[in-house]
Amino acid sequence: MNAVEVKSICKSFGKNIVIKNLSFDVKKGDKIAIFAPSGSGKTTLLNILSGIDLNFTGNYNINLPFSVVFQESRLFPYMTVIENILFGCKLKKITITDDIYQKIENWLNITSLKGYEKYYPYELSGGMKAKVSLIRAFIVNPEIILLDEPFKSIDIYSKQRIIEFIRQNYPDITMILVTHNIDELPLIGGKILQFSKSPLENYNEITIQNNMTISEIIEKIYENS
Amino acid sequence: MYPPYIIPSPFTVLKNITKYLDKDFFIHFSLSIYRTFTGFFIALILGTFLSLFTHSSKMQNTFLIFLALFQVIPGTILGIIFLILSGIGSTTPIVLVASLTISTVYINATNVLLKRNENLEAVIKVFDGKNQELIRYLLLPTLVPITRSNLTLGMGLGLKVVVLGEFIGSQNGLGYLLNVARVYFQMDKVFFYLIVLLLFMVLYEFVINIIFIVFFQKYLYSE
Repeated sequence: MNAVEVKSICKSFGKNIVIKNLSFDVKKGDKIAIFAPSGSGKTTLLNILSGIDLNFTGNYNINLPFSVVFQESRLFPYMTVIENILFGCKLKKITITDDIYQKIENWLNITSLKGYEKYYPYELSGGMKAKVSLIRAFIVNPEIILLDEPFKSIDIYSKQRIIEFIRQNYPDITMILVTHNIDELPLIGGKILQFSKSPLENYNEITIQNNMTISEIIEKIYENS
Repeated sequence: MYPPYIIPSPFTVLKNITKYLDKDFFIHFSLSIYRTFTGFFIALILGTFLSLFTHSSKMQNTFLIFLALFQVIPGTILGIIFLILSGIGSTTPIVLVASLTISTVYINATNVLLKRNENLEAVIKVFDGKNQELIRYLLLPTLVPITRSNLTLGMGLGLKVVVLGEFIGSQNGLGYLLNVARVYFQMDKVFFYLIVLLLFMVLYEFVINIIFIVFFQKYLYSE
């Protein structure tokens, strides 16, 4: 079953074409990294898939409940950390059970945010805000997660810990990660859709084996480009 | 130098303060405050909701022009029109305050809503938030800082308008007292009433500040 189906999507800003006739499918449970240079239209693609940008041609289907982690943390400044985390549940009318509190507890421990529950965003660093934003997206228990460079301001150790935690606790989640950071690719695993230039049109599909190192992935990327 | 019956010294005014602070004065003063509060809060609530409504229905540009035009009409002319329509009493100053402050409230609120945080709006949409949640969790909190300014600007303007309305056509209120004092050339009373107005605004600002610090401080935090 395809969790995400993208068919002939085109998007331009004036005369600047950023996505040209792009099609791909993502199967349920697949982990896909969209790897492309900065400014090539990755965020635009994710905005389309998440339903924020409606001004495009072509079509797409997202067949399962999804959640999004944006490039910027996008926390509500007048809500505390815990209120921001629970905000998605509140909007999706998910009853806050002990199980959800337990999950939040685990997330807070893994992201070293324990003790910061009552802090407001202005009291947090950029990395901490990014972690809160990640928790907010995962806590609604989505079946698909769209991640737009979510680890940009998170240090490598925290990043590894968080990804390991996601792998263990959300093994069946379908993931679309948008990034231009090579070091994030082996952490995610799965497939890479490699775009070498703008607009997003043709791509090489690279499968990452579980034990592949960064240098092996880089080698593969250069082989294909 | 002007003689004391034209411009009395502050000391003369202070010395006679007990003379002015009689029961009648408090009745007139509380009437003016009641009219200001009623008129201004009608404008604040209507202006804010009108702004939210026109924002949701994307009609704000039409209403902005209409209400900006409304601001051009001089208060005295409006006051006379309302006086003819509703006669002497509390209705004229209340309607006058509401009609003269609503455009300020609406224009301020609409301009803030036009510059709302679209990133946070996207978050609400992504988590299946509807219009109701958008208003509750984004638009209303966005309006808090401008409501703070509106409470200061609008109340000041409202008080001036009420006094003007009472001055034009009322048998009570601070404006009426000012008119009587003017007619009988009691400049010490005129100055006293002005001092009372100033002191009231100082007290009002103090209370509003406390309310905002206690209940709304978090809406003023940056991201």
